[in-house]
Amino acid sequence: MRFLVPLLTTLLPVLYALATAAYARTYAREGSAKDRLGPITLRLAVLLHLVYLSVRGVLEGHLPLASVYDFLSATGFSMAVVYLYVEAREGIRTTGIFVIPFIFLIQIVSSAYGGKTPPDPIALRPIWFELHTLTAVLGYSAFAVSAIYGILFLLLYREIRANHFSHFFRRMPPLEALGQMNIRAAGGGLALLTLAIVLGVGWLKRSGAGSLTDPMVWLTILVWCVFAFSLLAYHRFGWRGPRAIYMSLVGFTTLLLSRVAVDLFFHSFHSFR
Amino acid sequence: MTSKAGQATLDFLCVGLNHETSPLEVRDALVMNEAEVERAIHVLRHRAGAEEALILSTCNRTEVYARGASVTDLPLFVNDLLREIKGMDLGARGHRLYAYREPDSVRHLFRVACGLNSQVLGEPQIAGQVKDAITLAARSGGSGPVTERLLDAALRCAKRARTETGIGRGPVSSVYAGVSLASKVLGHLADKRVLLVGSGEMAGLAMIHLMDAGVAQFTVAARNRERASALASRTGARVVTLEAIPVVLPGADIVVCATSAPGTIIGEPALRAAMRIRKNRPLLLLDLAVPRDIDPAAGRLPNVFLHDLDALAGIVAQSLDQRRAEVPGVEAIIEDEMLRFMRWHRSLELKPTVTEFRAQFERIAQEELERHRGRFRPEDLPALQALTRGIVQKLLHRPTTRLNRAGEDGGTGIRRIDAVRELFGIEREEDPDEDRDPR
Repeated sequence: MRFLVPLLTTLLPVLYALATAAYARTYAREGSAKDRLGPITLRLAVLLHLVYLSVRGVLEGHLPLASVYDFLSATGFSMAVVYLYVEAREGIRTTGIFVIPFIFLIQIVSSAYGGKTPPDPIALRPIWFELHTLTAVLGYSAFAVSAIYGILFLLLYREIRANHFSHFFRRMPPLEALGQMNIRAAGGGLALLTLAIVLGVGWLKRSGAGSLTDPMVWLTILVWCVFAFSLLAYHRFGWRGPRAIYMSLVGFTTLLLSRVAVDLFFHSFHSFR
Repeated sequence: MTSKAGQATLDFLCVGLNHETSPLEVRDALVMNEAEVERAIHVLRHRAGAEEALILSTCNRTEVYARGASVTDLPLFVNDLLREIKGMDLGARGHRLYAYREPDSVRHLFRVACGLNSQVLGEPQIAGQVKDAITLAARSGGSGPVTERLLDAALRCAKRARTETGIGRGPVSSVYAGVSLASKVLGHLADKRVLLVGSGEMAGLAMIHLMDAGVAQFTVAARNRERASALASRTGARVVTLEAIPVVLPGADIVVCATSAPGTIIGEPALRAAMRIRKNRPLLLLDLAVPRDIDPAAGRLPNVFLHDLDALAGIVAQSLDQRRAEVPGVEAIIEDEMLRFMRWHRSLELKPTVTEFRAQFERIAQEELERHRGRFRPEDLPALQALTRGIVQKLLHRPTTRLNRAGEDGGTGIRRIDAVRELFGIEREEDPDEDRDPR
């Protein structure tokens, strides 16, 4: 089983590259919205990615999330899962080209530099912690997909209002659908992040391995607040269009900055250093 | 020239006029109703000696297709026919009919069916009109095995063109472009509410396209109450006056303005107020009026999508460009279908059919003899061969005689040859797709 790890480490970026090419073809060619090559390649990549993560999990005795490269690989995997879910739900394949290249980049970085797993700095075995990290990764991926759809919404919104009907205009799904994809993915991300926070706090209280004053804890709560407000504004205050999208993008930017800040400027037990 | 079954020539002619060769008043004057088409087919069959005839008469074209006509100058005959039936002498007016002989006549029919010869490139209605022409020809006794096969091929060609290329893709009218834009902004339109401002032809057209897109909830606002009620009656829509627009505006998701009013009907303040009430839900405004009915400043409000005729014309132009780019693909399909049709037609040649038919039986007899050779004494074999040959000759005598007469039996003869080839699988290896149902 051990031989699978280097094999899949090499194979996964190749498969994501092929999926990127297939989705690029779907986007480029008019009338190719029902092309099945992209979804088939991506599903194969996701399946093998799952095998890769499972094999790593079995060999290492815990979820393969001990380094920043493991984290990237898991994020890429869950982004692909979230994307496939959204694609299946909305029946739209022309947006894949705006999501899959990110997964490819994430995986190629992970495959290129993540060959060695560093010594495990924290106890990863308790199920609370494993679930905490798993839900956090899934939540972050949902936010990333939401942000991509948010940006696509803004681009299409501007094209339509400016009466500029380019290839992008023709290949994109309805504006309403992009808005829905953005808000649904953000909603899913918020639910997962909520779960991650609850599990994380529960684990902290039980293990005493860290503190609730950890920068990552309060920065994550800040991210949660921004997304919660974004969804509240959409559902309760009737925020629609660019204003709602900008709000969700603020949430995602906060998430990215908090992750960078924790790794670079703060001393946190969440840091991968 | 007479075309008989068994001859290689198709003898299929097309004579007519269309929007490229004749002005609208001429085309209008030559549109034939069903009774006139039936009469024309009767004349073509009995006076021009056509074995099969078909007439395609629409607002953009009047075309006569005939197979095996015996008159030497079919265009002149058709000219006289149109004068007799429609009372218009094209020659005297200086209008000329175009005439095509196969393979150009076949190619022309396929191009027409695919919409390549239409005023709006790739429009789909023409395929339906071709289908109606076949039905009418069948009812009038004009259709026969060749035209039936030909029109099946033409319709298959049209279907392939629509599914395999983008010749029918994209909106090609301003109103339809507006409806496409509404779908692009709002997604599914079935649950959307539409406010139609105006009750003229453009508003009616918009209503039809929106209904086709699934819209069911309409409000009509117009100055002319009577005309508005007539328009509203198509969908059970509510009718309001122009003064009531600010009241109904917040409830609409799509507003289509198509009045002939000299000034603005919907101002920016009214729209700003409406957007506040509708909590900024997106609102699509289609201004199809000249001069414009909606204040252009409204287009700057968030979540308001305002598009006038110029913007929609841009979408139409793009669609037409894309359709033009698809023409070579359609031409390739036409050539492919022409090849198939011509191959089928060539297979109707009598002599090879008879030869192959007989050879097939003789081959089977010979194969059976070889298979059972070991069961007989060598000295019995010549007698056995003579016996089987005799049986085959007797079995084939009557079918061969009837087949040889097919050349003199016109359409019935062609059907007979076609049936023999079909039943005995002659040339099946060369043309494996021949059985495919075109529709």
